Amino acid sequence: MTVVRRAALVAALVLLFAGAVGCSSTSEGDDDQGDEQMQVEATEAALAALAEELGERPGIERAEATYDRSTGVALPSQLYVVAEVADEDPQEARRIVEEVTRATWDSAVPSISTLIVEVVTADDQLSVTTADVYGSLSLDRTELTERFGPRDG
Amino acid sequence: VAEGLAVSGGAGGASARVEDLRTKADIAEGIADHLGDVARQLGALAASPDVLATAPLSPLTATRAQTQATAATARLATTFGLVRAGATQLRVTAAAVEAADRTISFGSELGSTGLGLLALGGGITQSVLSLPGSFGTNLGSSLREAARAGSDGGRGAFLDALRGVPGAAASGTLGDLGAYWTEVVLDRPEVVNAVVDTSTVVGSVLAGRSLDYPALLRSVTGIGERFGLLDDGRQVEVLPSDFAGVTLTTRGNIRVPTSIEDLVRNQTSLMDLADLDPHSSRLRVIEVPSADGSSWIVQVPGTQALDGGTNPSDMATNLYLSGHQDAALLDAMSAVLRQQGVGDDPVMLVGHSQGGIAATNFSNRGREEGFNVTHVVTIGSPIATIPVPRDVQVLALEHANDVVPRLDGRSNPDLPNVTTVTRHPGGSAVYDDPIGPHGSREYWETAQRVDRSGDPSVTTFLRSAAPFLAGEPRTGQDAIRSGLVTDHTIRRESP
Repeated sequence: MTVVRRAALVAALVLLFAGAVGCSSTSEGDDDQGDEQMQVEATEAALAALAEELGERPGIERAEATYDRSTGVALPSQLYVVAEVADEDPQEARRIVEEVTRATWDSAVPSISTLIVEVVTADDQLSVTTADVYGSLSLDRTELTERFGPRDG
Repeated sequence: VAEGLAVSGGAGGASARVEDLRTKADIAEGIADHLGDVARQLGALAASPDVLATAPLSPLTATRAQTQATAATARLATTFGLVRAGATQLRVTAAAVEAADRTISFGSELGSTGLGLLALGGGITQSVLSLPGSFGTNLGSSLREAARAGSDGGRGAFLDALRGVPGAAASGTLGDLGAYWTEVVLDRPEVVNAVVDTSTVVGSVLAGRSLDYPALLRSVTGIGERFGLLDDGRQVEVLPSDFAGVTLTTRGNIRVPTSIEDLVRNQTSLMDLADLDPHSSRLRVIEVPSADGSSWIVQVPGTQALDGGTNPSDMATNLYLSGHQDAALLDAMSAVLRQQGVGDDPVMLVGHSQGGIAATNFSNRGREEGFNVTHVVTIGSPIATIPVPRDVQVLALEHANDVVPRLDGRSNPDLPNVTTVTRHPGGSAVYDDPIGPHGSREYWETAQRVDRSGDPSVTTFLRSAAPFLAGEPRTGQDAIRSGLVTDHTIRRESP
């Protein structure tokens, strides 16, 4: 293969991977990277506040909220909220799943695409999730809006 | 489409049905041959000199016997013909199913390439059209900057500012291209498949020979290595790891698995923990003891960095593995299995994203090294081009709107040992980011549905994988304390 052909091949693949990476990144270069970083920081602050507020609610020992990083990039709009409870009553756990889901939807977290809520005991013997309460583990924005109404952000 | 899942391949797939038809044809032909033999023997018996010699003793009985033998031979011959025809019909049906499958596949590739050309053309047109605008804007701002600096730096500053214009214009154009792709992919994720297809065709034309996608990637890694841009190291360290840093959101996802959902949750916690140290990655090994000896599950995380340095879970590894080449990550899997003393016990390999590509590749290498790899589970991984031993059972979970499993430009092959389950979570517009449906947490629900699925291919896979999911269910601290779940830190010795 000539050097020119090789260069063209590399160019084609760079385009391909640029396309793929473009899918996972934002479109306006540095400005959007800055925006994304700001969204991550805003989300982290809001999630910390939400977790603290949830942890003070009756029946909840402590709570933690995070977002998906499993793709190698931060997806701050895909949330996972866990509340630890002392009471091993599954009915009470279901009620808390509902309460946490609504509280998260009503919170100041800037943007929510999908939400998974889980209530566990300290020994992890009990786990009740949004799947047990709503029939769907990962609630998307459409489902959340239908249940709890529209939100800002 | 039960549970919102589309299932292809596996025990209930088209390829298995073709194999089934051929097996039935073989059996029918065997029966026909046997009938033919019996008919011939009966005919020969009726006409044998010994039988004919006894005819004068009882001519009436002999005539009746001969008539009956002739009639039976004729009936057997007719049955032989019918069974033979049935066998031929089964073979024709099998060939027709295969031909139809090939035609559909060719048509879909043709359509995909056309779509890819349109998408690429659209992107290039948009970029070219936006170039004059961004060029003008950047020229204007550079001139303003030069005018401001002009009083201090004079002509030199003016020329420096002008030199920056093409770069700035190009960066604006790349931004437009990125925006275009994001929009296209959000709307039509299948375009990624098409673009890969088209790039392979374009690459083949440029190279002057037919290249498939893995060969194309091997060329890239070869060029990258030659210019010192890529170096996988190939020396790995495997160190003991602990579960320090486990948080509430991580804890519950560390599991001795009893379901596919548990396997996917382990992937999430593995990635969360691996995130704590950007310089290394992690592999998780789970022992499932039984009276007959242990089974082992190895879980491999997804991509963590563009250039990982000592962390082998990076983009370079994706290039090597997608080109079916060896990589430090596979060396680490091998080392971990040896350290755990797995021997020839059954092994299931599980991975999300890059982890799935590694798991599928290792199904071959592991076998060569004497490991008894029997099952592979991939989550959102492009594995269509990776060959898998015929007796390794593969379950591939994919989302229709996840671009990553499409990055090899192919749908997974319809093979009896490869079951692909596809779900379309939400509408793609629900996600803010096109990579959103790739998140491992989004696959939890898909896995739940797989666990509940009654699809024949899925249930056959789950039945065969039962020994791996037969452990006592343990979650969080209980799983960690059991000693059955072991994490290993892995890193390249030389970046």
